[in-house]
Amino acid sequence: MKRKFEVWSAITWIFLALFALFLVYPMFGILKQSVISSEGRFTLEQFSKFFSTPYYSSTIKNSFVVTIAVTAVTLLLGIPFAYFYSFYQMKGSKFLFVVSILCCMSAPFIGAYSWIMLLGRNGIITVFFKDAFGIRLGSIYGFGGILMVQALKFFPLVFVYMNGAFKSIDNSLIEASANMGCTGVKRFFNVIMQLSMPTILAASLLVFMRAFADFGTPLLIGEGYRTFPVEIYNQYLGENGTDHNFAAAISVIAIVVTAVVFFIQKWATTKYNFSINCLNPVQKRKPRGIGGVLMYIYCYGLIALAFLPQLYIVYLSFRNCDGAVFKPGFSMVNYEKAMKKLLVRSINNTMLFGVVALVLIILFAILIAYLVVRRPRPLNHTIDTLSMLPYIMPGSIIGIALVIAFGKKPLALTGTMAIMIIALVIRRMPYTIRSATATLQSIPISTEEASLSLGAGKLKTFLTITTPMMGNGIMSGAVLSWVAIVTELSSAIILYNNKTITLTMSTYAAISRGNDGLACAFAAILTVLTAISLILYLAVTKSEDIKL
Amino acid sequence: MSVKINISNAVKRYGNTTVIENLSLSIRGGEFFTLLGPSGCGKTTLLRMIAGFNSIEGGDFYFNDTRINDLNPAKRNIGMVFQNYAIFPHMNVRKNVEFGLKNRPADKRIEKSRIHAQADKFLKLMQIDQLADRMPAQLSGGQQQRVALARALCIEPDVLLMDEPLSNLDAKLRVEMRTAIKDIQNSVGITTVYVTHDQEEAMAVSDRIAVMNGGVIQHVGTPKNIYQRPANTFVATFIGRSNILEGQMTVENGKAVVSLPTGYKATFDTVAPENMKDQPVILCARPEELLLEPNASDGLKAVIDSCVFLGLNTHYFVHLLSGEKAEIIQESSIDSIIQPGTEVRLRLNTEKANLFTKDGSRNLLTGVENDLSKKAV
Repeated sequence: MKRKFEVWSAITWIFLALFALFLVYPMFGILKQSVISSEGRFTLEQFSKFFSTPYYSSTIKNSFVVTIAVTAVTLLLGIPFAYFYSFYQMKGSKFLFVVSILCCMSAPFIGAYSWIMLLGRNGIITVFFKDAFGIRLGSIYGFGGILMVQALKFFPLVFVYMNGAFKSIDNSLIEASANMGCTGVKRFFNVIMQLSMPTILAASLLVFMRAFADFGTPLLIGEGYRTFPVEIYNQYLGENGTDHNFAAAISVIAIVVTAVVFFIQKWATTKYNFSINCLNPVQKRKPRGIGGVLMYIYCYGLIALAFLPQLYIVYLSFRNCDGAVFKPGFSMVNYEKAMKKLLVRSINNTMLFGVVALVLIILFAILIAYLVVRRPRPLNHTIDTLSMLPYIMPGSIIGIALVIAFGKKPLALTGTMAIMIIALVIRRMPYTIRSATATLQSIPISTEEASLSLGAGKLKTFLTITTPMMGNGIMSGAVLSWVAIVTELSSAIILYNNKTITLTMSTYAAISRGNDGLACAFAAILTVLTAISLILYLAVTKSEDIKL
Repeated sequence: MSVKINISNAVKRYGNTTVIENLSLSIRGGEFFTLLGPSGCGKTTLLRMIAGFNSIEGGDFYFNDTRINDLNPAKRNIGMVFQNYAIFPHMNVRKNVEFGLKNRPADKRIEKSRIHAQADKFLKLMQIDQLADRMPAQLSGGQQQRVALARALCIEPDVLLMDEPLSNLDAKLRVEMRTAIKDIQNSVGITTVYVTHDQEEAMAVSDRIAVMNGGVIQHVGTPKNIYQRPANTFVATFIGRSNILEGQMTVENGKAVVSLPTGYKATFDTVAPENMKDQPVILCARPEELLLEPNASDGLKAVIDSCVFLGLNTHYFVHLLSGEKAEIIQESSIDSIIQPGTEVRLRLNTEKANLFTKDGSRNLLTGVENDLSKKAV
């Protein structure tokens, strides 16, 4: 039977063209810039410079060490938290859930900034201890600070993932192990942890990728502890001695490192290939006795600590402030100053970029999911693979790649709103495509066949049956994408200018100029905006099934 | 006007594996026709070829005089009921049922004002009119099944296709629903193709059954004929249970006599004239066709291994002197059950039992009606 021309074939080619232009071409640009010198010769000079100079090569090592430490600590914090949450009837569990989502979805550098205000050289707690007891608290800057800020920010990721895994464990497995004499701590490690291993690996990878590529935290709090995303930024846009070729070379190295980690995780996950048919979810028990009290202290203490920075920033934004010095008394002075400093434009841009990027991401995700799941052909698998590329590319590298590719004619897009939106779409698309693909795979094809057999055409079936059924899965992905877009820093910092400034960039600009009051006002608006988005979303979905 | 379906020389391939090779079949107008076979026999594949969801690699499919091979599924005017019902989860019951009516091709379009009435008619027919505003998640399995059937019938299709529609229901509901399905099909009079692996279900609903194995149709006939005069040993063992015993047929004084290795002889009056010759045969006796004769001195010797009392009937598992095992079903009597170890005598009901060629591929008796070999009706 001859295959008739389908509109889907056209869509396949359109996506291939788009990906070639906006993904492959910029990536190629970075690779080219890393090996071609400014005189146009092929050279590996940049790479040898990186590896032979400890000043540079130590950045990768530093990033690795701190990221592994962060991953380990988030697992240590998040798994017990998830265990208590999933296996016990904690009072206020909804509150715990919402707040932990708010923590991990906050803008990337606000935590770091707020902790500096609390524990930094002039931080309120540092000063309090020095004045009251004469005690000098240790420095928050460097390795310890990055570890603390990132661990407190990312442990809720582990919690949300593990909660999903724990809920899918069938109660009969727990009962069976009790039956065979395996209970308590032994059961936790021998049964529950083993069953959750794929999820632990997935959560570890997510935390690793986020922490490794995190740019805002080490930029603010890292100081002498230099990590590679900051180094790339310094080499590309820094105040002294930028070297674009060298920045490109570091970017290539970083991509290789994340790719290797990605594949190691994929390989490790195949070792735990099993599925649980969960008929009876685990019955939650009441926390009792001293253990119960400790459980409450642990969960609420951890959440309070993780949420403290955001509350403190909102509090500071209402304090009187003159330049970098906060003064007694409350007023709206910081917000008044913000109004003069492009507040309206920042909010408008943030909203505009967010909405346009989100619409494009959802559209692309639905179409690509359909191509991959319902039209499994080699070309469509290529699209799927390509769409995952940004997953292993830190945001600042995507920013640089776009500048290299679209910085000159014929495709001069730098400085336009278009390039900001393109960057946001590229950054978030892999996540939404994943959730859309997973959703479509779980929808039996017979529902679409029923529609076809009832006389609806292919396009009508896609629009009235397939798309609405994917709706829930897409929406949960989309809201989280929205929050991530609104709080985007690492690619925007390379691409923004005065016209395309966003809330995150305004906040960052105020921080870097030492204008703390102003920074707090911007940060508070950003925090409240993300909080409202998430709370609205959580209120509507009621589900805890969140794919971060 | 019911539609008849003619399939000739159908071929289905997945890559290099041929699932169905050269299959021909004709289904009469208005008939309830069942494709029955073990899993993987190709019955669902064939159904989906009729529906248009599987490509057709060879042969011709006709609805009356229209060749449908290359017709879009949306244009075949088919009502289909899926194994998992495939109810649209984001639409309520009424919207699900009306969906097909709103998507009729241009020549069959119905006015908006009639859509509601038409949907009501079938909601009432399936006795789900009170559920019209419910969402699918609020329905039980049986109710979802009724919605799926109402939705399929509502467009007044030429052909109704059902793919194991009852397999997700519990046993009691299954019996209830199959009666409902049969009644509805009778009253609507629509040509129906039904796929199942449950032989009892197939017997209960079908006008005719096609027994399939390995992509090949083994026997097409009425439930009664398929059970009593199966075309080959596969059909004999798949439909109901059969004891398979090896024997030798000899023609003595114009009568066919079958002797078993242990010396037992039985005379058959039912052997077809063209098969009257000395040859090795397979004797196929259903458990109820072996009769226990407690007081007889002749008959087939057997020793009881175990017995199961099931109320109406009692099942005995025995072994013969040749070592072959057999199962016997007897109506339970008020006397005590025969104890394991007891030696008993069996008599063969030669009127009902079947004889096959040694390879089991052909029934030697008269009265086998296999529509497979006949031309289209």
